[in-house]
Amino acid sequence: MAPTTMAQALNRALRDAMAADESVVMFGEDVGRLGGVFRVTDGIAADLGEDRCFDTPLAEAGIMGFAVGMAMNGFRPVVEMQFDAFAYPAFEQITSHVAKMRNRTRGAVSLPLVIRIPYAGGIGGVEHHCDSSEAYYAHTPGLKVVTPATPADAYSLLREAIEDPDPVVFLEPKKLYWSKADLELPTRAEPFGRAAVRRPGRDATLVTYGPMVPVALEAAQAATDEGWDLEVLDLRTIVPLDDETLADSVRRTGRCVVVHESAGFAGVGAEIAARVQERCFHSLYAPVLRVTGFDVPYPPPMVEHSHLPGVDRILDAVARLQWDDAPDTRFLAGVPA
Amino acid sequence: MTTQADTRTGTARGPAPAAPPHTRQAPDGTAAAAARLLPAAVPVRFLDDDGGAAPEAERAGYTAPTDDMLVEAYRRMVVGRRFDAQATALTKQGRLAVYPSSHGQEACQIGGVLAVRDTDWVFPTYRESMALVARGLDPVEVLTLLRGDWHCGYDPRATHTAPQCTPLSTQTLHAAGLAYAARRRGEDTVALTFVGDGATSEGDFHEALNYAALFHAPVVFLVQNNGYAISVPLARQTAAPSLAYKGVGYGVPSEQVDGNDPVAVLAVLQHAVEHARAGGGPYLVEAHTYRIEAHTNADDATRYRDRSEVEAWERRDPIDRLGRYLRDHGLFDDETVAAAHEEAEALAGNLRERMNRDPHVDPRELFAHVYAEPTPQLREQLGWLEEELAAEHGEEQG
Amino acid sequence: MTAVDSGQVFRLPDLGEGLTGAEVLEWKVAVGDRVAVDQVVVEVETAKAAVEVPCPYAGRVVALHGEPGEHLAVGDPLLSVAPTGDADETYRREERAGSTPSPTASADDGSGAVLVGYGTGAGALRRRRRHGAAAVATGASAPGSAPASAPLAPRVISPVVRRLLKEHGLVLSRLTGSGPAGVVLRRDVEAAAGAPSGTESATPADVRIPLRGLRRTVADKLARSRREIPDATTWVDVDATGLVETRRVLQDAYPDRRIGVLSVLARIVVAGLARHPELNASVDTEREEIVQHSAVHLGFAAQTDRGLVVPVVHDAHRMTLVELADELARLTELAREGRLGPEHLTGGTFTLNNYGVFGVDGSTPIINHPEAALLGVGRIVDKPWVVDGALAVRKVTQLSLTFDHRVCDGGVAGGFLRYVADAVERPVTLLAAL
Repeated sequence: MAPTTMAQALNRALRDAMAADESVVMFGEDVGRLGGVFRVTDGIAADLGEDRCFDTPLAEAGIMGFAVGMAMNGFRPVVEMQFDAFAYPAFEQITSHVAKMRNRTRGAVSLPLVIRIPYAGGIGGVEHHCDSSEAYYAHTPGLKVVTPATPADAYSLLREAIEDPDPVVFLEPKKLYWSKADLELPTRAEPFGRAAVRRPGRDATLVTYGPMVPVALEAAQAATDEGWDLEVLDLRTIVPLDDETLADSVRRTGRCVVVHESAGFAGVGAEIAARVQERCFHSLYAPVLRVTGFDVPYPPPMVEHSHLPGVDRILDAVARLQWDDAPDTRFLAGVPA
Repeated sequence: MTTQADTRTGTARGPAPAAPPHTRQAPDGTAAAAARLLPAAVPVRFLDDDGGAAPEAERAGYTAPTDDMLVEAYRRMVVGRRFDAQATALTKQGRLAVYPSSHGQEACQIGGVLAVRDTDWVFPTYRESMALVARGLDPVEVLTLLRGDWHCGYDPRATHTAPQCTPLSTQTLHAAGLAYAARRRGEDTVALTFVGDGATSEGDFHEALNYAALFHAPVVFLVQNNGYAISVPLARQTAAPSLAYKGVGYGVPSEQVDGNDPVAVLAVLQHAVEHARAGGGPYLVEAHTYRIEAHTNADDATRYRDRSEVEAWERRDPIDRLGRYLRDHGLFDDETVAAAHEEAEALAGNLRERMNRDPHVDPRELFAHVYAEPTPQLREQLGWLEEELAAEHGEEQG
Repeated sequence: MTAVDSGQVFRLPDLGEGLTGAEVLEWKVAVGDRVAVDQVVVEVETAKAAVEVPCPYAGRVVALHGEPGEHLAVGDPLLSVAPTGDADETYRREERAGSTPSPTASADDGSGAVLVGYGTGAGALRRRRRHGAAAVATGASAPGSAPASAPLAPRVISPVVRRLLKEHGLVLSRLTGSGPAGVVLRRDVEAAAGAPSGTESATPADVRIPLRGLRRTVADKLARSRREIPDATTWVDVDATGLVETRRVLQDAYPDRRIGVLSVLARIVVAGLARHPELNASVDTEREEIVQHSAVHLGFAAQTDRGLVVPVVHDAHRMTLVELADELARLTELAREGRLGPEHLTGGTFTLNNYGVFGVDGSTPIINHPEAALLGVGRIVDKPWVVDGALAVRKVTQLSLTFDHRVCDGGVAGGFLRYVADAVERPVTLLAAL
C-alpha cells in the first residue's frame, strides 16, 4: 500500500501489461526517451526497450493508421495522442477504420488497440490543450470509451483496455494525473460496463465521469449542509454504458443531475438524460437536469473557472429538483425567470 | 545512369540494418543520397507502343520477368478485362450499386498481384476488383462491397488481402504498419499497397511514406497514375515532375514505369518487392497508365476529356502489346489465346449466374460485429429489431 | 427483387445518371438480328449523356419497343428477345429471373443510381402494421371531454404526481393547479382526492376503477343524454308469437343466412320510421332546429367484453330484411372480435336495444344522444294471453319506446309504437305496404 498518483498507476499498468504480453507495444510522440509530456510513460523505454516503447514522427494520422496495420498483424498497440485536440488529424483513421474494421470484415479482422488521450481542462492550459471530445467517440459505434476518475480505476481500466479485443479510446483526465490514493498494485476493479457508486445517497443522483467526479463528491459533501443526501455515480465507461446501475439509482432517488465538463449541446449528458427519462419516467419527481460546460470553445485559462461546472453550479441545479412540491420554473412559460 | 543501375540489379543494399528511427543517423543532405532515390529520367519500358522491343536504355537495367510469368500475366489480363466488362454490364443491369472500372489498367492490376506471393499482403483501393480476382479471390466476394450486401465479402486473413478501401490513401498507413509488424516478427512478408494519383495528395500518403521509411517497413507503394481523380487531371493534382518524385523527400527509393507495358511493370515491381523483402525498406513505384472508362458507371467522362485522348491510350493497349511480344518470342500461339478467352468467358458466365441470384441479407447481422461481444444496449436494440421483423413477417404470412 | 415477363422482355434499367427515364437515340440491332449476352443493343440519352445499354439476354430480337426520339421510363420494355435454342443461349434461361432490373418506384421520382450507390429509388419501403392499431374508437365522438379551444396540455409537476391523479380517479382537466403558471402540484391532487398525504387509513381500501377509455366515453354520453334530453317512455306488451313464427319461416327460407328476431324487428322499425319520420331525428340545440334525417342509420346495442357498443347499420332504409340480417350478423361478429372501427360506431339516427337477452321485461332505456328515440325490446317468454276470448300460452314481450319529447308528442310516439306492436303481432300485415 503506497500513495500512488494516477500517472504512476497508469505507468505501472503499461509496464505490467507489456510484461504480461509481448505483443503489447506503446508508441506516440515523446513517449520514449522523454517518458511522455505528463511522464505517464516515464522510464518504460529505458527499462523495457525502445522496440517496446518508441517515438514516432509528428503525425497523428500516421500513428493511428500505422497502429491499425500493426494490430492487423499480431500486435496490440497502445498509442498516445498527446492532447485531446491533437487527435483530430487521426479522426478519420479512428472513425473510418479503427471503429469499423471488425464490422467491415464480419469479425475476421479485429483491432485490439488502445488510444490513450489526456483530456479535459482545469489545469489553466492554453488553447487546444483542454478539449473534451468524448462525445465524438461515444457516438461512433465500434469504439469503447473509457475514462477513469481514480488511480485504482486508472490501473484497472487500462489493463482491461489493453486486454480487450475491441479498440478502446482511453480518456485520461489530465487534471487528475496528480491525484493520489493509497493503492496496492496490481489491482482490479469493476470491469467495463459497470458504473461505481462513489457516494450512496437517497435524495438525488449525480451522474458524472472523469474530471467531474471529485467535483461532484465535493458538491455532495456541501449538500449535506442544505439537507440533501446525494448519490454520486461514476460511469467509468461511457461505452459500454451501465444502464442498469443508472436506472436503479434514479428509480430509488427519483431525481437526477448529470454533470460533465464538455459542452452541453449534443454531449454525453444529453444521451444520459434521454435514457434516464425513457427508462425512469414514472419514478421522476423532477426533470433530469444537466450541469455542463457552456456551448463555447474551451475558454482561455483566465476565464476557465467561469466555464467549468463547480460545486455551486451543481448545487443550484440540485435546488431546482422540485423539492417540497415547488416546480422548476427555469423553462416554464409565463413565469418570470 | 550508372548510379541508378547499381540500385536496380539485385539487392544492392544488402541485409537491412535493424534500424528503428532512434538509432538512425540524422539526414546529412548529400546529393548522392538523393540521387540514389530518384526515379529513371523517363518511364521504364521494355516494349514500344506496338509491342515490339523498346531501346535497351529504356529498360534502365531492370531484369525481364521469366517467360512463364509473362504468359501467366497475359492469361490473367485477358480474364481480368473480361471480368471488368462483365461487372460493368452487371451494373448497367442494376445488379451492382456502382462499379469503378480498371479497363486499360490491366498491366498494373495483374502486375501488382503477380509480383507478390500469396503470403504477402495486398492493400487495395476501391478500383482493384480486377486485381483481386487475378489474385485468386472469389469474384462474387470481391464484388460484395459494390453490390452492397456487406462492406467486405472476403476474409482478409485467409486471403492476405486487406478490405477494399474507399477513403483515399488511408490504407497506405495500414500497409506500412502491417509490414513493419511482419519484420518485427521475423517474417519476410511484403505488403503491396495500391494508391491512385489523386490519393497521393492526401496527408495519409505522406505520413505512410515517412513512417515506412523511418521504420524500414517492407512495403511497396504502387501508385497507379491513371491520369484522373474522377474529373481532375494530373496537372491539377501535383506540380511535381511526376508522382515518383514524392519518394525522395521521405528517403524512399522510387521508380516510374510505363504502366501499360506489362513486361516493364513486372520487372520493376519484382525488383521493388525483392528490395523490400531483403530488408531494403519501402519502395515507391509510379506506373503511368490510363483509365479508359469513366470514374464509375455513373460518371460522364465526356464532360472533362476528349475522345481523342482515350483513343490515343487505347492504341497502347497492354494486352495487345504483351500479346505481340509473346508471339514474337514464340511464347504462345492461337491455342493459348483461345484458352485464355475461353477461361475468361467461363468466369464471366459463372459470375453472371451467381450475381443474378439475390444475396441473402439478414439485418440482425448489423449487431453481430460491432464489438467482440454485443453490449447490453446492442442486445436490447437487436430485440427491438427482431420485433419489427416478426411483425413484418407475421403480416406477410397472415 | 425483379419482375420479369415470361417473354424475355428486357426493360430499361436504372442507368445511374440521376434520371427516371431516357430517350431512345439509336438502335444498334434490328428485329430478327441475333444478339449475344451483354451485347450493346441501344444507345439512349439521359439528361447528361448518351449511354449504351447491353442486353442481358441472348437470342433473336423479336421486337423493339420504342422509336428513336421516343422517351421511355425506367421499367418500360426496351426490346424482346426470343431464344434461338443455341447452346450459348441455353444457360441464360435460369438467369432471366434475375437479370432484368426492377422497375422500381423510381419510375415516378427518385435519383436513380448515384455516383456511389443505387440511389433513392431502390426498394420502396413497405409499411407494416404497427402494434396496437386501434380497433375501437375511444372518443372520436366523445362529448364531455376537454374543450376544443384548450391549446396546451395541462401541466403537472411530475410523472409521479400525474400517476397519482389517475390512481385517485381524478380528471386532470377538472383540477386547478395552484403552482406557478397553473402547474398541478401534489397538494392539489391530494386535496382533490380528499386524502392528506402521509396518513394511512385503518379501514380497508375501496375498490377504485378509473373511468377510462370506452367506459369513460360511454359514461359521458349517457350522462349527457339524461342531462339534455327531456325524455319520456311509453311501453306496450305484445304477443310476439307471430314474430317468432315468421322468423322461423324466414330462416328456413334462407338457411345459409342468419336471420334472428332482431333482424325482423329491425325491418319493422325501419318501416315504422318511414311512417313516423319525427322519431328519426336530432335536436340541433345550437341552431335551435329539429333535424329529421333523410336516411335511417339503425344502431343496435351490443354487449362486448369491453362494454356496451352500438354498431350502426348505415342506410338501413334501403335494405331488405335479408340484407339487414346480413349486416347485423357482420357487425355483431366484428363487435365480438373487438374490430369495430369509428365508421361502424358513429352516425346512428335511431337505436334498437334488445335487453331481453338479459332476461328482463322492461326498462327505461337511455336515448343514444344525439338521437331522438330508442326502442327497447324485453325477453320473449311464454305468458298467459287472451286469444279469441280464451286463455292461451303465447310468446309475449314488452316493447318500450323512449323518445325526446321535443321532437314529437305522445300521439306520434304512441302511433309508432302501436305500428311496431301490430307488425310484431301480425307480421303479414307488412305485406300491405310492400
